[in-house]
Amino acid sequence: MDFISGAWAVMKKDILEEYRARYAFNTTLLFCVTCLVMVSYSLGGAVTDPMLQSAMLWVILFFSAMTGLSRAFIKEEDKGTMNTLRLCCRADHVFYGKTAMNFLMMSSVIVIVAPLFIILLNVNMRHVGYFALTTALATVGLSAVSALLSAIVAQARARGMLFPVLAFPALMPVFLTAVRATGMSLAEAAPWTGGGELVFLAAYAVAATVGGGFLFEYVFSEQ
Amino acid sequence: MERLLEGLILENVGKRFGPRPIFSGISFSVSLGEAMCLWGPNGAGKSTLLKIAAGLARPSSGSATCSFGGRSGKPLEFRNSIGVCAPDVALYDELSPEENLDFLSRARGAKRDKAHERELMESFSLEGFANAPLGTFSSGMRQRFKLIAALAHRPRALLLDEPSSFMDEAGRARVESIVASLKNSTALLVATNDPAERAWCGSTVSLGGDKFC
Repeated sequence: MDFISGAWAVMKKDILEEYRARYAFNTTLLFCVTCLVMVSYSLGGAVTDPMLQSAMLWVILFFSAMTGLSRAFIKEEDKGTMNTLRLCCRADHVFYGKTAMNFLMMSSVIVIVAPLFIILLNVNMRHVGYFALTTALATVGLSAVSALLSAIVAQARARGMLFPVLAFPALMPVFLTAVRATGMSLAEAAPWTGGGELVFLAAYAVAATVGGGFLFEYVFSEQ
Repeated sequence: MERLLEGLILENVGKRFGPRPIFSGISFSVSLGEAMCLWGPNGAGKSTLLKIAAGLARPSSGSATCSFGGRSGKPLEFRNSIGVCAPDVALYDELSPEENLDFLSRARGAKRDKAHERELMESFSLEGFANAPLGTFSSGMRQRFKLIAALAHRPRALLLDEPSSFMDEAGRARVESIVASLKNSTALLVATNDPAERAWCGSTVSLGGDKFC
């Protein structure tokens, strides 16, 4: 109960800040929509292969996440509030609060971007449930890893450049699997029979959230 | 050093940034009912030493411990017992004082004492600004609210870094009277180079040599 209330305190504070400043959400959403429109204009209906469509969606989501999610701790460090977090919060509360906030933000962006993706790229979404589960699981992994990496790069100087460089290898497995699983949800064949992709995404999500929680303690207290 | 029952203990603390040593071999303790001043010129390491005492910076040598309720440990293990007001500990500009205090008490897992918070807001003349975003506050108002946030959970150790900076005469007088009222029940550590703030404290740790008096 103590854990949930501590993590919720951090998440609620971030929601209020984001609601008033609207920096990360607007940046992420704008990036996604701009990219989708550009891809749609440049390729039109030329791309019909489900795997290519899926890859395009995840490239856009991945880079938009790099823009928005990196700010989770960078903004705390820039505003001088990181010490306030250290003084008042337990490390695990901060990590899970920030991960939950990242998840909420990316999910909100995907809820808006996914219909646009279907309309603008003329996508035939055949297995909506599979697609929803794929994006949900991939977003959990993406959110947890981004929270951890954001805390690491917040203490460095070349933050903007460092975050994608660190995130790229860490998120590559989830990115490639999400592309494959999303492609399967657009294809005609029933995707549920295989199931390996979803199992991998679920395992990655669990490993990222649990492992991130353990590692975060060292990053948070390091000065 | 003899262990204290209640308070802050710094043993042989040193800090260096790269090859540059800031201070070394600092040992002192502040127990409940005691007020200690960290005194020295700019760059002597007062704020760094205060951050080490709060658990916000790691010493290059030595250790900082807290001891409250018969238990000893690192300062950050005593989140509910320590209050810090320092330039490096900022509050959230997008949130109002009411929201900031709500976050701080929830994050600490402590029960909110709204009557005490209201009393502090009134004593620092901020009662009419409880719901205004902190970003709209002047530097002096912001400093007043930082002190309120440091005091809201009734800390047993209070660490203040130049607490009356940016404040007008009324604000400084208010800080002084609050410090006087807490002296007997709190372990108080004040980092300053202001003689008026030094006068609040019973003892002094001097940093940066004897040239600064």
